[in-house]
Amino acid sequence: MNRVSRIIATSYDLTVAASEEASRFGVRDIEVEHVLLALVLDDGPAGRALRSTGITLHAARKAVADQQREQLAALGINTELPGDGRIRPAFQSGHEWTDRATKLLSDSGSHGRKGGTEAVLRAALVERSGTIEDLLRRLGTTPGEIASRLDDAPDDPSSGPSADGRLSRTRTVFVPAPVDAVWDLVADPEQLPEWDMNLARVRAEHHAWIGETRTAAPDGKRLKVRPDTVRQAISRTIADEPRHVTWEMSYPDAPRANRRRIAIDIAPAPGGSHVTVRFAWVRGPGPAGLRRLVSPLTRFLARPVVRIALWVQVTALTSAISRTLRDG
Amino acid sequence: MNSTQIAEAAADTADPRAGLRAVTSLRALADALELRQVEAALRAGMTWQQIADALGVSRQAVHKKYSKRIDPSIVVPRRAS
Repeated sequence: MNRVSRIIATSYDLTVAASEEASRFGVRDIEVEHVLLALVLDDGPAGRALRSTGITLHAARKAVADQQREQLAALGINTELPGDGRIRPAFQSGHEWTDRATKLLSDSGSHGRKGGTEAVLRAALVERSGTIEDLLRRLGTTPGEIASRLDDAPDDPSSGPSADGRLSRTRTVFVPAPVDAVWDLVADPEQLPEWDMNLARVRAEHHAWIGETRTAAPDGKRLKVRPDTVRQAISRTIADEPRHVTWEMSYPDAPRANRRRIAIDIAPAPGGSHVTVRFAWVRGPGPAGLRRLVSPLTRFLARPVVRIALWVQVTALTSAISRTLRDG
Repeated sequence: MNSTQIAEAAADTADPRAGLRAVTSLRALADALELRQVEAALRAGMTWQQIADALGVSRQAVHKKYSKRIDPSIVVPRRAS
């Protein structure tokens, strides 16, 4: 991954997590403290360095709330931010970074820094308002200690080449929940609609599960769905409790269409679990007749679009699993 | 705490650095409360123009700031023009 694509991927991941954490406080602007909360959830060296000092998401959220409450009290205002503690998913584009939060991102890519969450954390450690330093002290550590843990950290093992083919994409995220809690969520057919945004609902039918494809976005907008792909047959092809589950979704009314396969590995990690999601399209028989002749060409032309679509799919899955386990 | 006490505390300049940081929390609080009130107003059927009038800003300003920030489940009436 080059520097520019790393910066884009980092800012996307941080925006999703930081905006979700901000939404718990009833605010839409992403501030430096929300970036810190997002970094606590990071799967790379930044998150590992923070969590290695014993920082948990719960403790970090409390530190942010305490800081805000005390600062307001210093002004004579005895109240808290009006959020209800529930996450509002970042489906919409209504989140903006404040100037000083944006500076963390821009600093992470300048001065010879290589972008990525580690560089964002290093920028946060020297953040000039003192907000991050104050939060770290509340959490029993200091910017200096975090910086030295970053220096001592080994190279990121997750940066190796992945074994993805043209029709699959793999992604690993950290979630602040134990392996069993992740398993309970991802292995339960009835909870599929909570993290597979493609599914509106799932019902049991003759010892099988039938899913219904979502035809409206959470904001009420209609989604374009082929009528013959509304019904999905869902099967759990592998269930190796509590470490691995594989789901396959096929379309009984469109037997020539590609199936979806979602394979999830869960591994214990300090303070939570690593969840690896591999999303794949499994090729069906493909189109019949004349369209069959041109399908190799259309497949070739669609390659860049397919790559992006796979990235969007797998990122949506990992984000939703993380969000569901953090909410409440 | 009454308003005089608030003014006294807010005017405490013994530690300006902490005081300035506290003001950013105050802005966040004001923004969060404004968002809540705007959402409540839209749910109650108020138009962007009525909300703008109450806030003392232009309709364009309030629409630009909040049209994408509000809860997506709120049905916003289209402007009758």
